[in-house]
Amino acid sequence: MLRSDQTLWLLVSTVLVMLTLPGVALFYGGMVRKKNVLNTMGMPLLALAVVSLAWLCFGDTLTFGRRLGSPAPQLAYQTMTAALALALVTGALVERMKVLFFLVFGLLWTALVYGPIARWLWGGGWLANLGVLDFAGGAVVHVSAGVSALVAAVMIGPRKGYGRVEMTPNHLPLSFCGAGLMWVGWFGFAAGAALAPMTTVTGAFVAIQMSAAASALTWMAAEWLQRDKPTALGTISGAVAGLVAITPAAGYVSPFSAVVIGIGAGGLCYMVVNYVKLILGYDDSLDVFGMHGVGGTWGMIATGLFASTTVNPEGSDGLFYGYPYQFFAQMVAVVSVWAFAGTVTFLLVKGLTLVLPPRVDEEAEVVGLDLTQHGERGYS
Amino acid sequence: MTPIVPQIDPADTAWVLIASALVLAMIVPGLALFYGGLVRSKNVLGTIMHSFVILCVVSLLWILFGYSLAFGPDKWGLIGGLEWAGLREVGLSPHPAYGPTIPHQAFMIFQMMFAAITPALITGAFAERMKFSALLLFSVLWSVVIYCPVAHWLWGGGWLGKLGALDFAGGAVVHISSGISALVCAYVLGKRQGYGTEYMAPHNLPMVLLGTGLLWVGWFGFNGGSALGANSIAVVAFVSTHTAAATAALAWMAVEWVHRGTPTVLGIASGAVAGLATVTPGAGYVGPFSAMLIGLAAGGLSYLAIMKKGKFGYDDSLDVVGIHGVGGVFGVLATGVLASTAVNPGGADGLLHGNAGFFGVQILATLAVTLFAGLGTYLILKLVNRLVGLRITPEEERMGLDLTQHNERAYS
Repeated sequence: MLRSDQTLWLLVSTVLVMLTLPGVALFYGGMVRKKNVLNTMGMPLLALAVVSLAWLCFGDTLTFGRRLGSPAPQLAYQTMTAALALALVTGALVERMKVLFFLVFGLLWTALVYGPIARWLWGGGWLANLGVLDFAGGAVVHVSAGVSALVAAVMIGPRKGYGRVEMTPNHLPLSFCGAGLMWVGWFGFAAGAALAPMTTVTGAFVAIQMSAAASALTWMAAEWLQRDKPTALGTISGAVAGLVAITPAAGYVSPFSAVVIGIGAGGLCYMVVNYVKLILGYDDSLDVFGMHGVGGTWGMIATGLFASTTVNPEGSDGLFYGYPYQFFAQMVAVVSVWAFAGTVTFLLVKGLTLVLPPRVDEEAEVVGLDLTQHGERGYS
Repeated sequence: MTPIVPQIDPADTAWVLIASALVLAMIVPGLALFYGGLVRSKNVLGTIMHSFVILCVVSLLWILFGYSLAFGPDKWGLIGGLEWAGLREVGLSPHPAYGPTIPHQAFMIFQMMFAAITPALITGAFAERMKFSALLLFSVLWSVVIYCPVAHWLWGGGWLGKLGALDFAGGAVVHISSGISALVCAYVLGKRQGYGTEYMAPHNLPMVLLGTGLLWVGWFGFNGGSALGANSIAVVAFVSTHTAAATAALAWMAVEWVHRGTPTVLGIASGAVAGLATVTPGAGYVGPFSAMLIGLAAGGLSYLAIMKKGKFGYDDSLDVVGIHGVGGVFGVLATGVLASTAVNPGGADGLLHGNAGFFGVQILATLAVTLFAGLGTYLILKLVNRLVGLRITPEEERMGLDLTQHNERAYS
């Protein structure tokens, strides 16, 4: 039985994490071209709907081994986290993917990629037994979503005209609104994957705030130095990168370690989004890999560096606090989640493509997905 | 009095953390959208960036030394010492004065959000014309030189608090300080090009209304959270906050309807924000009917102030002075009149309940914060102007902040 204050915090956290889904929808919706805004915003909401049912029917049982339909208090919270992971993946595939393909892919991805990884880290699986720390989903949500997004984006191929035609965001204030809601909603992750005591939640809360702020300023500064002007899109992207990177670490690190993690996230994600992507030439439309794959990986590694038992006695010490084992355990987790998510997503997309066309046809892509896939327009 | 033994109450902690998230929602996205919709479309990203970047910068300043200056061990009643710089001694166990039932860091982060929103409020006064580098420098200096001392005076064990001045959630600390500083900013920076001759219509009023809605929701955290626990005072603050906002929205609407023939939706939204700002200092000390009176006056007074601003010739672009300055001053004074120990035994009785001395202290607090913020802001602006220059060039102003300061466009 939970105490009433535990139930309270769990419910509030569930609502806050759910708020990140409209947050993602707005964040992504503002960044695409006008003709695709509805399709882009619809995907995260579809992800929420599909994953919610999937989690109830099999996800929770597969991951945590609870009896089907058992009224586990964390069920709703875990559902939102799983839905967010799939919602993030959509950002790499928007402006060209078919809705039906996404639905089937999403359902299978939750069962075959997200579920097992969540089990490994949170459901008493082998990584949890190794002592790997992932407070609220750095590997489970962000590395898995980011790596899968990259693989799927490469396999499905770039948008028509990518690299030649300018693809300017249609509504940046919308993206800003989404990033703001993500920031607010991210405080739901201060609860961690389990029911943390309120002191740990407070520490995690502070860490989330500090990492997001430091990362936003780092990205802004990098842009200012290198490109002469700091952009609003860059600054809010920096904040999101900071939120991602602190996710695995939040309950285990001090506020100043969180600042360092944020600075690392802003710098690394800035470089991947602005340079590595261009060199490699993949079309990850809204930088899911650049922010979540890279930020999540950095966050997992940083947890192995900065975790401290003086902050959270239930956690562990990292490399910088004299416990190198933790660092290696985190590396094992990162490598195995990368390999697993990448391979299974590859096989999944490969297999699905045999039965379902993943992309809309060229003409539909030119006209836009709103009109051709949904029969409506975003603005009039 | 028996000393309170600090022990963490999980429900109180949960409420203060929820409240912190709500106050964050007031800044980002709330205030940023409220201001962003009010400017012309060439300046919307620049305006949003003001709030966003201030949130980030103040967060860092706050844990480095800002929190220590505001709430650290008292020095001569004027400012906190640097003993808590870098959050030394600010851990997860409670502090007896700052929320004896919540982790000290929960209080710290709740206050961080206040420190962040206050300079963000000022940005409405110099919207559409300030250099981005000047904005950054100004907000850093303003937070350290103005906000931290004023917060200390009232909340950190400083001289106004010791005299018995009451400011429940920031009428003086947040709204007078930002409103008066906004007035000084508007004067020092001067008018926007074409102010008074060109029509500068808000580019997206639905965005303003979304911002207003988020501000109203978030204000429950701002005022309710200031009770520092899930207790009856939080409920008092909740009710009075809501009552004042609703009353002020209707009051503004009525005055505008009579005065101009049609009630505008922007007016109703502005009225709500004016009511929220005005009830802030009294929220936890007054009953619902006093809150209604406060809201009534807030809607009328702020409307009047904004109508008359043309006479004074300053360009307070998004009416920070009229809403937060006027609302803050009136709210702190109204607390001196209407506060009641029957509502909150930890508060004081106001003039209406026969305590003229308390009213005097509230007047003193108003004057002190007004003078200090006004003078300090003037000096900071002069310094920033000397160092990096305050305004963008007239050519840049014509092109807009988005392209010239950030090299991007909001819409395509």
